[in-house]
Amino acid sequence: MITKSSEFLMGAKDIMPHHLGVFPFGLVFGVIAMTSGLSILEAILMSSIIFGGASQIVFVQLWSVGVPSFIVGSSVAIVNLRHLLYSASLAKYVESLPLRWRMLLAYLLTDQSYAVMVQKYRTEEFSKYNHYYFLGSGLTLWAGWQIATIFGVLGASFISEEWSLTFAVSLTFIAIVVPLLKTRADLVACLTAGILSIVLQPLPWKLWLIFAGLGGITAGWIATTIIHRNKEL
Amino acid sequence: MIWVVMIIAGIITYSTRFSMFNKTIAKKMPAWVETPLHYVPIALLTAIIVPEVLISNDTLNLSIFENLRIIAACVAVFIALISRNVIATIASGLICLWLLQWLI
Repeated sequence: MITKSSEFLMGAKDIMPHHLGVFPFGLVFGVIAMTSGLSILEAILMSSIIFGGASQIVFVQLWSVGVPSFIVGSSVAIVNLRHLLYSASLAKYVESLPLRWRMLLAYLLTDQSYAVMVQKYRTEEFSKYNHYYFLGSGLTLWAGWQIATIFGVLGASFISEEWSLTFAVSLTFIAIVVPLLKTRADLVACLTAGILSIVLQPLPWKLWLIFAGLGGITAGWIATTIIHRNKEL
Repeated sequence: MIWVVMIIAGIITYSTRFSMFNKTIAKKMPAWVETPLHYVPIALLTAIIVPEVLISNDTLNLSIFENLRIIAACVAVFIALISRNVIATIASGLICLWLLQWLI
C-alpha cells in the first residue's frame, strides 16, 4: 500500500547512493570556505542560503581572490541555470500541488533529487503521494549536505589534501552527466564545453566557466539544428 | 558585504529552481528555449569536471603518469557507461585514484 510515509521513505532510500558523492563534496566545500577566509557562520549558512555545491565552491573561490561582486553573482547564476531546466522538466508533476508545496519542493531541487525524480516518474506508476517521494529525497539530501558542510568547516584543519576529496566532486558530476549523453548533439555539447573550459583558462575572474558553459550549450544547439536539417533534406 | 552577495546569489538560485513551478512564468516561456536548455546541465557540469581533473595548482597536467586523476576519471566514466550506477561510478573513481597514489 502506498502511503505518504512509504513514499517519503522510498525517496530517502533512492537518493542514498548520491550521498556517497555529496558527503565528500560538502566536506570539500567546508574546507575551501575556511581556507578562503569565510567565517564559520558564513560558511555554514551559505549551504542553506544557496544550497548548490558547485556554485558555492565557485562563490568562495572567486570571493577569496577579490573578484567583483557582480561577477561572483553572475557566475553563481550561470552555474545554477541548469535548475531552470530541472524545474521545467518536473513542472508537469507538481503543477496540481498547492503553492506552499511547490515553493518547498523548488528549494529542494538539486542535480541529485532531479536524477531520482526523473527515474521515478519515468519508470513507476504515478501515485497521488509522489510529492512525498520528492520531499523524502530532497530533504535527506539537504540534511546530508548541511551535515557534511559542518563537518568540513569544523574539521578543516584535520582533512588532508592527500585524500583527494575534491576528486569526489568531479566523480559526483560524472555519475550525473554520463547517463545524460544520449545523442550526437549531447556529445558535441559535452566536448565543446570540456575543451573550452581548458582553452579559456587565461580569462580573468574565472570567466572560462561561463563561456565554456555557454559555448557548450550553443554547440549542442547548433548540432541539433544541423542534424534536424539533414534529416529533413 | 559577503552576506549581501550571498543572499542575492541565494535568491537567484532559488528563482531558477522555482521558475517553472510557477504557472504564470511557465506559460510565458517561448517553446524554442527548450533546445538550448537541454544542454545546460551537460555543458556546465562538464565545464566543472574537466578542469578539476586536468588542472592542479593552476597548471595543466596531461601526463597520465603524473596526473593520476586522468586515469581514475576515465575509469569512472567507463563504469558510469556500463553500470549507470551512482555508487559504482563514484566508488570506482575514488578507489582507482587511491590505489594509483599508493602504487606510484
